[in-house]
Amino acid sequence: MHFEGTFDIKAPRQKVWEFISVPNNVAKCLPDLQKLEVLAADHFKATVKAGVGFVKGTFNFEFRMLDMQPPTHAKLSGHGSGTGSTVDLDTAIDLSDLPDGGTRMAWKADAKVGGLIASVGQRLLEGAAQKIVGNLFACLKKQLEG
Amino acid sequence: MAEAILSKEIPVLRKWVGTPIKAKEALRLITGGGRFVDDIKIPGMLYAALLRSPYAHAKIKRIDTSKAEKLPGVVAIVTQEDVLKWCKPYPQIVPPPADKLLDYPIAVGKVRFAGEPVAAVAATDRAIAEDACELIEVEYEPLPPVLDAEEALKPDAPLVHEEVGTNLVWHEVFDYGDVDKAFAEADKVISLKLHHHRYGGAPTETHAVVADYDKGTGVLTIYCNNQMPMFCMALIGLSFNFPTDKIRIITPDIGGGFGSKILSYTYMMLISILALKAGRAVKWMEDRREYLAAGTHCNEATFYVEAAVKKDGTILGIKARTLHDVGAYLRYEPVGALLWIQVSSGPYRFKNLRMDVNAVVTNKGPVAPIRGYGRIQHLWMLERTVEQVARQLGLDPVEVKLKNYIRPEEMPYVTPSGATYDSGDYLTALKKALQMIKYEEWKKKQKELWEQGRYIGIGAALFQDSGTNNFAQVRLIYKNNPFSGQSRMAEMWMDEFGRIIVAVGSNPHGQCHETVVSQVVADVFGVTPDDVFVVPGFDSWVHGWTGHSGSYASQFAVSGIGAVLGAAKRLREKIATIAAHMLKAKPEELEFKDGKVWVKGTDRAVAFWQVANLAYRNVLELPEGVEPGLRVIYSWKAPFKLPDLEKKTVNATLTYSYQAHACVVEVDPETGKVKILDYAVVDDCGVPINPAVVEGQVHGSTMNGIAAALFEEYVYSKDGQLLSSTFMDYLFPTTLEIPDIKVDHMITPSPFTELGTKGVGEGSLVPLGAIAGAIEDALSPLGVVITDSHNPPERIYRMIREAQKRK
Repeated sequence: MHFEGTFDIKAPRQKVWEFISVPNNVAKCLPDLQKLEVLAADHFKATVKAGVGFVKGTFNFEFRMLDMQPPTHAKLSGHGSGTGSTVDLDTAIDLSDLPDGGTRMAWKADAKVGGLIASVGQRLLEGAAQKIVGNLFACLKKQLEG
Repeated sequence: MAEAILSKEIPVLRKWVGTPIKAKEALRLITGGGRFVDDIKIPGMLYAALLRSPYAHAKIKRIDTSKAEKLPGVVAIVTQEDVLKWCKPYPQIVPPPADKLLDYPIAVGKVRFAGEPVAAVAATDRAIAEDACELIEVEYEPLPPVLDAEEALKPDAPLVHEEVGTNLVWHEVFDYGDVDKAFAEADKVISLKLHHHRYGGAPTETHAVVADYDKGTGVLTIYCNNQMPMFCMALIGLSFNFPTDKIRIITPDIGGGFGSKILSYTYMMLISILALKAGRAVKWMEDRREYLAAGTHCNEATFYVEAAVKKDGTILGIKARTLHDVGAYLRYEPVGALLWIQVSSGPYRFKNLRMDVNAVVTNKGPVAPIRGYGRIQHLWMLERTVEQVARQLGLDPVEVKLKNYIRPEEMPYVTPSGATYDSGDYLTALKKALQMIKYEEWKKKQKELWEQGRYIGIGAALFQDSGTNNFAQVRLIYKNNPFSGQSRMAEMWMDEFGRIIVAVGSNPHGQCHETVVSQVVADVFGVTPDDVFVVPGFDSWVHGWTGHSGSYASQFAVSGIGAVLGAAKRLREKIATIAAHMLKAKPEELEFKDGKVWVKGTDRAVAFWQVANLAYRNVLELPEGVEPGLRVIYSWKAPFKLPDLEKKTVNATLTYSYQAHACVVEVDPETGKVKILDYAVVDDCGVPINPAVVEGQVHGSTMNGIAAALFEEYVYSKDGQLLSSTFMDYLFPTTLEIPDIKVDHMITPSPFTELGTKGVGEGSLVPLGAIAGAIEDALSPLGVVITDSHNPPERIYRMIREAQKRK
């Protein structure tokens, strides 16, 4: 599944970069965060509750920030498992300046889901995944502007 | 009722054979009194759950069970390390290089389909075992999956089994008659690409195993619901590092099988290893999602067909290149890719046939010998081809079928591949089925209805149900395979009170063997079926067995009953010898009636119990040379020959039941939904031992076929995730989806079996042929060609829209 989007943040690029490159800030935007364990500046583990339709459960994710090019480009790659399922998530973020001093964030996400959720929830999966990924970025924007 | 067609007198005493008595098993099974694997409880028994792969194709980089081991209640966990300690890879029946394929009860090094077992946990209850599975950390390196047979053959395709070096695991060309000449002489050549979809059997009871290792005696007892465990014993014995003399296999009542319960030997071994590691008995009961995901699908096949025909519809020859997608492991394959050889020309007379057969592995669930194994795909392909021949020549499909059918006077008929069809009257059967749906009337009404915008279609097809297989056919896959023929063992005894007890090496799972055996034995001894006790279930230490024993390949009425009849006659002979001595008569002067042995035409008789008393206790009064006791064993062997490896011919099965189906359907052009307006079946399985049991098989298999044609399909996503993994998506039909089915019978005894019986129950997914034909007929004004065996509303809707665009 591939998703992408663009949105504008009322904050300068450096501030945006500093915010999103901190695991604690990103993790706050994960759905129903149960536990966070920061292992390094670019490496963290997160336990979240998520699901599709009636198939809901706990997932243990491990995230790494890769290909960091401050303050323009970053990748967040995560692998999660739980509830008889696996999720492989690869996201990329590109930041650029806006004439009004704000920042434009262009994001892309590729998600691969396997196991119970993929087989039982397939028909709802795309919508649910889009919602989770969309919320993640909307939450980042909200935190930066709020 | 149909007029019985009796081609000869039935050469047996037939008081009970042929009578629709109530099934002996029925009461206990329908009142909850059956005993299944899940009813077995052993002191201290643990419960197992399996961790299965979420990926279709991935390397296993690391398995960490430490967290799961710490969960209170967890006793043992089995992963690839344990399996490598306990097992050698399963032997394969393919020639090199695919014989190098490594297959174990659990994934080793790599997972090859979503749902493949990766670890097994034994805990004090099932919930703990399931929770423990969640705590096992498996690090995978996902690999690109290959999910289509044609893609799998491309040079850059990912390899499912690196050790084999190719995804093409078996390829062979079979050339019969003079195919080139047939095509040179043809008025027209018809070409088609066809696809036979994946579906399966859906038994009420899923796979189940209880493994109980007794340290004191060293005996491992495996309770299971495998439907041919003693055949599977060859695979278990060759790969399991455990002494075979100490393995005891028990199958209690089994809740359906449909062939899917042949492949459970992997689970029998896995749960045994778990029990050995835990030092306690372990029960594993598969859940429905596991069952649907982990294989036991039917062979998916793609056909490139060409038919050489005359203008009048006479078929001169057929060429077909077939690609069988057998899934991730071979298990019973590539037998499914070969079994067309039992019905090579179907019910038709053409003599020239070239089959280019390819078995291909993919990252989907392994296939199993599902009902109609390997024959249904081929027979469906032939039906589609013959109907397209008719349509492309502007002829009536029914007329073309009747024109090309083998005539009853040509029976026994030898097919291009060397199979001998024993008996049958295909023309009468098809005509009768058509009469039952009022074919002529519908044919007349059809045009008028089309004009009203109603798409009504009529379809008819006849499939054979080849039964009692000759295992020597697998030598055409690889000449070194050390199996051949077909055999069965039965043991029978009269106890010291004169009661008759029978033990047969079969694993019935709905076929009423206790009933039909008691009917046959009752006729031999002049008693009633109630007087004959058939030992239920199967126990390898109680029931005599051969390497062919089991319940599969539509054959109990031939092979199982062959063994029972042999044993019954042997026992009767011994009783007669003792009775003759007691009555001071000759054995040939005696008759068996009402629990006594009589001197014919007199009132002199001895009761069975009196004879038995002599045999068991009063042994000094036995005649000279007669051993004490009344216990006999008989082994039956089918009269088969080894194949001709040069010509690639083999008489692959002994009997050929058949069913003709006719139906009327209406297709809703707005939704693509098919409604069955009328459905008729004519069945001929030779002499039925119990017509009610046959009727049950006919209804069940027709339902199975309708479901396959319209509802049931295993669908994979492009990542290799099984999407139809619950009954929400895998559309198992209920009585609401299945119309009333009219059934009629014909009886054409088999000349090759003692009672004229034929096996029945399998080659009966005729609705695949009949419904495909009916949909194509309904949509013939639009010129729609049906090329897939599965036709859900969505597919039909798209075909209608495309056809309308073309117009």
